[in-house]
Amino acid sequence: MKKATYSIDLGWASFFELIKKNAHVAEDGVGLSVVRIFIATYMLCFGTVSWTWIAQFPDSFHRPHVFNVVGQIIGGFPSHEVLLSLQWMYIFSLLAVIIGLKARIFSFLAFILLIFLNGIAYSFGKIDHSILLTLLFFALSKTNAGCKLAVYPDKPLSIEKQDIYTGLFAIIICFGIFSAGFPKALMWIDFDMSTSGILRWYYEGYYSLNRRELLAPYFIYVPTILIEPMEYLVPLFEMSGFYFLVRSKRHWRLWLWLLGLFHLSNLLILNISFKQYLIVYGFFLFASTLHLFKKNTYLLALFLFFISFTVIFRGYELITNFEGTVDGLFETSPLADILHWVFYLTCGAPYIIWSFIPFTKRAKTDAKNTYSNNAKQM
Amino acid sequence: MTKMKYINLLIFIYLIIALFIRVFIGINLTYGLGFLAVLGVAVLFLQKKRIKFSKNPMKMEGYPYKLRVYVICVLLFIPMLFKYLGLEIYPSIVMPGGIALISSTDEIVSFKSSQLYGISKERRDTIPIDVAYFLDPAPTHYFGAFQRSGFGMKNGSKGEIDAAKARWRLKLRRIGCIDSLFLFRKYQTIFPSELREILDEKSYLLY
Repeated sequence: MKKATYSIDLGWASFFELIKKNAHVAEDGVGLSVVRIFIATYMLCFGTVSWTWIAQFPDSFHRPHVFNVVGQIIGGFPSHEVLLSLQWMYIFSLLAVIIGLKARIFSFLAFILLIFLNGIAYSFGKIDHSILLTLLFFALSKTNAGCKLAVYPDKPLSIEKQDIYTGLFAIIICFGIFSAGFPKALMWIDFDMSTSGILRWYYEGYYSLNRRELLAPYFIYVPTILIEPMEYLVPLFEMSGFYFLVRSKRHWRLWLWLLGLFHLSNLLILNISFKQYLIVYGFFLFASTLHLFKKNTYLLALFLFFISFTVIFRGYELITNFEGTVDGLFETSPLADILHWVFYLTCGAPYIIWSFIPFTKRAKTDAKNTYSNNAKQM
Repeated sequence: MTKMKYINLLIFIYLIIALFIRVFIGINLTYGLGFLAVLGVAVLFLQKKRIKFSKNPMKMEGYPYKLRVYVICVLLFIPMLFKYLGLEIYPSIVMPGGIALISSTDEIVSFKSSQLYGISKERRDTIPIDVAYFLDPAPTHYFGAFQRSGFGMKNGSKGEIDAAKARWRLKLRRIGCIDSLFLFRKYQTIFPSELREILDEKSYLLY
């Protein structure tokens, strides 16, 4: 028994070492700090920032799932005052993360508040799936993102420790997407041309939910013979995260970039956006791209100017709607959502090109950098 | 050849045979086996890439291996199994699958849908209510959850139920409906003809 558990531990250790290496986020330069500022600004502008509406509903609406831990603990909806103060604590945490005021502590606070406030909202009996966004703040709190470009910088953690948490976060992303792909693989990979899962998504959205924007009206002309391979590719792609993660650093980023492409095609055909997830994938991909431009101070100055402008504008909007429900920065529409994913793909593209196109220096060195060499170094 | 290579080879051969049986005889044996092949390849890949440690990784400083694999299983896989059993855990790392299939050869498709109706003050006729307006400020996709809780009028104290009723009365008055009741209907709708069959109907009395 002892031998068997040791063998499992050894396998797990081996697996995790590879993941730690591949999910490593470069921390020299200001890339990680720029990513921190971007993530918090994005959440402030496009994420949920109001929960006070919950207090409008009496406790007879409080029907949490049996295993909604937060909902079961609180037993009923909190008062308007409690929700308002928690909501403003969350907004203040985001602002503190943006300006770098003990970003590690406030990232962790934002994580706890998101878990709690979302748990209350899900007590109506519907659980949304934004857990990766919540865990992103946990991952952020365990990195050195708050050490540079900060008003009150954090004390740096060892790279070893940072890699453990970025590795864990990479596993969580892979597992999250895997959990969506696994049941699809069970049902969709049936080599049966007369049934279709993609068409079920499409027709239900098109007819029942009125999702008829962008390319949706034209998808009907795609022949079934082309849809069938897609039905196999989608679950396999969703399940393949772990493969890319252990393959290499650049393959892991490639998978995240392809996920962006996958979401964009979903948006174009099925009008399903999931746009907020771009910051989850961007945590790894943007940091790598920024690492390429680490010495470009003009770009950095431009970024900081743009962010300051956006935060001031958004802050004014939130303060003027102090107790009301505040929507995203811009009116949401499929066309606007395309811009989000195009932005993500454009930001990730330089790293993907740089690390994969054969004539670049990076691709050549990566190809030589075989696994056996790495193992020897350890 | 390692054991894993044999397993992969067997799965591959099985898939090929099953595919032939599917195409030429019509019996489906491939159901759900595609993912097994992928898992097999992934395990093979991991086996090949195993790192040799110079000392016991459990005794290495600052490493999370002491958590062991079963803790990870509890944190990740158990909530996933619960989700498939219809019991969702929050917080947990599980994403929605959306796995249902439809026939791709039929000319028509049918889906279940739900709609709320009020009774117009002027015409004394049922008129559909915009769900987004009715539930506001709650998100529209909470509609199913609201319906399951009887729109806040099923469980709770008398005061809470009265507060819920007052809320819906106000909403109905604002859209020109009589404020004594609203209707909920569940349909099976056939597309593209949009023929509807009522599966379930409930009226919610507000006085």
